[in-house]
Amino acid sequence: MLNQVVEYSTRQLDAVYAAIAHPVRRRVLNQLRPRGATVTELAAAHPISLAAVSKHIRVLEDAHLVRRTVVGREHRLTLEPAALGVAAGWLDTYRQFWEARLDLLEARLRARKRR
Amino acid sequence: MIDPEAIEIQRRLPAPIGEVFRWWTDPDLLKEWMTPVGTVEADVDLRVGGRLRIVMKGDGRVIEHTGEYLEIDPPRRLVFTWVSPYAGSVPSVITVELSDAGEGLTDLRLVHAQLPDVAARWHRGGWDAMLDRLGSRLHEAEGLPHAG
Repeated sequence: MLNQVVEYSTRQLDAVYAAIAHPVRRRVLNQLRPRGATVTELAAAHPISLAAVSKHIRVLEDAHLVRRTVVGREHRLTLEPAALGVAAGWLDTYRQFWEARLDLLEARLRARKRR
Repeated sequence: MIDPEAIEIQRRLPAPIGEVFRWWTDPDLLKEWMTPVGTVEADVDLRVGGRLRIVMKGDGRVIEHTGEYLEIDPPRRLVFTWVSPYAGSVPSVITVELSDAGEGLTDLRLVHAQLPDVAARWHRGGWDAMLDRLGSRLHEAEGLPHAG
């Protein structure tokens, strides 16, 4: 049970860290902070192609950091706060990892003694 | 006091100190407990400057942890670096301290420090302020009072 919890949050963290590891994606997140933006607005602020910006946006969407709403032709992006909340708890994730490891070590030591 | 970017865990374990030290350093014993899911591979070159490698496999994923031994003082103290895909590519440092608690028991203290690489990068980018804001928004969304 605990292992499942750890596994689940490490999966989420994986995606979040991979997403924010890139400076362009961090900049995109900062741009989206006040009230979101359209894909075109975002692309205009970056000296890279629309295709390249779109790729970065997709990574952020896959990590559930950014939500896309399509209204007519406009693709509007807003921040998804929940995923960043997961990242904020990353020290706790480490604690859970080690608590779970030590639980297992303790169980193995007990089992060994009974043999 | 340890720095706020470290975690510290204490545990009383049901084995004598020498045996607990072996469970931390013998690859065959490490395999028994060093993974959340599935199986584990462990390679250990137990000398200062020697490498350790722990590969956790399971649930369709392979997670490789690597590190280097910085201090080895059996059976009391073990310090090694730890590179994990979850802490960025910069090593964090794990210190394991053991002390004899009598009656065949051992007190273990684990400190996982220098985790802040990710946090430090976030700070530079103003991420801490952003997370604070998002944190309070989450509290609002859940109808909870503000933390501060």
